Amino acid sequence: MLRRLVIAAWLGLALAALFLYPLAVALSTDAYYLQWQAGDVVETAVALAGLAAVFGAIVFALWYRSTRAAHGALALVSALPLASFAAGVSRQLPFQRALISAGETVPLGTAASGLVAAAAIVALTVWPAAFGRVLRRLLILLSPVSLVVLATVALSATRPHAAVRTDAEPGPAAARVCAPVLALLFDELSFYYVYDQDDHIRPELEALGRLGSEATHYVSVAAPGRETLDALPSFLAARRVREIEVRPEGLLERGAESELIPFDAAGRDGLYGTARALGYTTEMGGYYLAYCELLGATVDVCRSRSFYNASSPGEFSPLDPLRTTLVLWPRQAPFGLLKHPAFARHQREMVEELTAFARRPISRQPPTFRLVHFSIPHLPFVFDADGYNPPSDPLATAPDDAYGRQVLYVDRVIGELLDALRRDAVYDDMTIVVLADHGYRFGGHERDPLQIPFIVKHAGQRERVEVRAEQQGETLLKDTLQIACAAPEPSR
Amino acid sequence: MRVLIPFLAAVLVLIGERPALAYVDPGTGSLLYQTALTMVLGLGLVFRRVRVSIAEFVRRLGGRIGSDGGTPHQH
Repeated sequence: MLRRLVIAAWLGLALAALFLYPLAVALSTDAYYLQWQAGDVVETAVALAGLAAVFGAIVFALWYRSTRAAHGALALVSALPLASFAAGVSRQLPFQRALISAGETVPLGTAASGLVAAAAIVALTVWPAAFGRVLRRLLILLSPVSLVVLATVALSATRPHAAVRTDAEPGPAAARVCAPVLALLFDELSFYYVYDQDDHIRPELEALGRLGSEATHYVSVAAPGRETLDALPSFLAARRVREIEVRPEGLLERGAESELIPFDAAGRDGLYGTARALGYTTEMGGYYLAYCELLGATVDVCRSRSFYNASSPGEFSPLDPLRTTLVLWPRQAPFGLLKHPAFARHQREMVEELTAFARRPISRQPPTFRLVHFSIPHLPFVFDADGYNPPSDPLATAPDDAYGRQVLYVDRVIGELLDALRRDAVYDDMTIVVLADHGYRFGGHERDPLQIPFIVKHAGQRERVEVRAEQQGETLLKDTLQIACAAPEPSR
Repeated sequence: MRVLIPFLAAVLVLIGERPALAYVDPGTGSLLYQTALTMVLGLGLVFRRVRVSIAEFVRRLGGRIGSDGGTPHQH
C-alpha cells in the first residue's frame, strides 16, 4: 500500500510538472517578458500541488489495473501533460523555426497529431498489455523532469521581481498651466486601416471621425521601429532607439558603435522626464514591457501587464499559471485548440484593465499626463464592433478580416473613452492623442507599416487641421506635451 | 549497458560545454540540458539493469579512490 501511495504521489507530481514545463522554460529563458511576481510563485506552487493531488489520485486508481480501459484512461489523463512537455521542449530546440513552419501547414500539423492518436488507439486495441507497459515506462522515464520544474520555480522566487504597479502621491500644483494630456497608443493600428486614400478617417470609424473633425491629423509620421520592442522604448526615451535586446536583468539598447548599453527611459530629456519638468502628474498603463520598472521615479501612477503571463497582479488565482502555460503553448494544431481560448481571455482581461486605467479621473491641477499602451488591434483578434467575440483561431493573420474587425473595436473603445470625458466636462480642456507604434505587419491592404496614424486634439480645438510635413513619432509625442503647456489656460 | 551511463554522461557534458563557463548555468537556456540529465535518471528508474550499472559504476569509482590511499576527506 505504501509503495502504491509513493508511486501515485511521485507520478502525480511528475504529471503536474510536465504540464507546467512550458512555464518553467519561459521562466528560465524569457523571465523579463513574464513580469514575474512573488505572488506568481505562490500561485504556481499552489497550482502544482493541486494538479499533483488530482493526477496522483488518478494514478493511484489506475496504475495497478491491467485492463484495456485502465490503460486507455491513463493514456487520456497523461495526454495533456505529455503534450505540454513536448510543447516546452520544442521551444528550446535549435530547429524551432523549422518546426513552426512545418506546423503552419495546417494539414501537416493535423495529420501528425492524428497519426499519433491513431497509432495509440491501434496499439491499445491490438496490444493492450504492451501499450500499458510502454506508457507506464514512459511516465517513469519522464518523472524526474519534475525536479527541473520545481527547481526553476523555486529559483524564480529568489530573483528580483519587476515592478508592475506604482502609486505615488500626486505632486504639488504646477506653476505653469498645462492642459491635461491623454495619449492612447494602439498597438499595430495601421494608418491605412484608419484613413482612406484621401487621408480622411474611414466612415465606419465613427468615434475617430468625430474626434478627427476637430483635431490635427499628422499624415506623414514615421514609426520609431518596425516592432513594439523598439518603438515603445523610443517613445519613452523621446529619441530613436536603434535596437533593443531583452536580457534577464532588463533592456539593453544597441549603441552607435553597435555596443550594448543599458536602456534608460527615465532620463530628463525622455517623455516622462519632460512631463515631470513641465509639472505633470505622470501616469502610464500598458502591456508587454515592464513600464513601471523602466520609468522608475518619473512615473507617479503605473500599471503594467505581461503579454504572456495571465496572472493579474494583486489577484490570487491558482488557475492563472495553468492559463499562462496554455498561452505559452505553440499556436499550431493540435496545441492551438487549448491555447486559443486561454489567449483570447487574456487579451480580453488586458483590454478591460487598460480601458479602466484610461478612464481614471483626469486632474487639471496638477495636470495629468497619461499614456496608455493598448494591446489592440494587435493579435489575438477577439473583438469586433459588438465587443468580445473570439473566432476559432484568433491568431490567424490572413485574410485580414479579424484584424479589420478589431480595428472597429478600437474605434468603439475610443468612442466610449471620449464620451466619458465629455460627461466629466474635461474633454474640451484637454489634449487627446491617438497614435500607434507601427502598422499591420501581415499584409492585407497595409502599404507601409512604418507610417503611423497620429491624431492630436489640442485643448479648445474646434477645427480639422492636416499636417503633411514629415515627422518622427517619438519626437512628435514629446512636442505635443510641450505644446499642451504653451496653449492658452484651460477654462474653469 | 555498463558503458552506456558514463558514455551518456560524457556526451551531455560535452554538449553543454561553453567556452566561458565551466558549468551549466540554470538561467541561460540550459533547461533542455537539465531535462536531458534528469531523463538519464529516469532511465535508471525504468530499467533495473541501468540501476545496477549505476550502482556498480559508483562502487567502482569509490573503490578506485580508496585504492589511491584514502578518501577525499584525507587529502
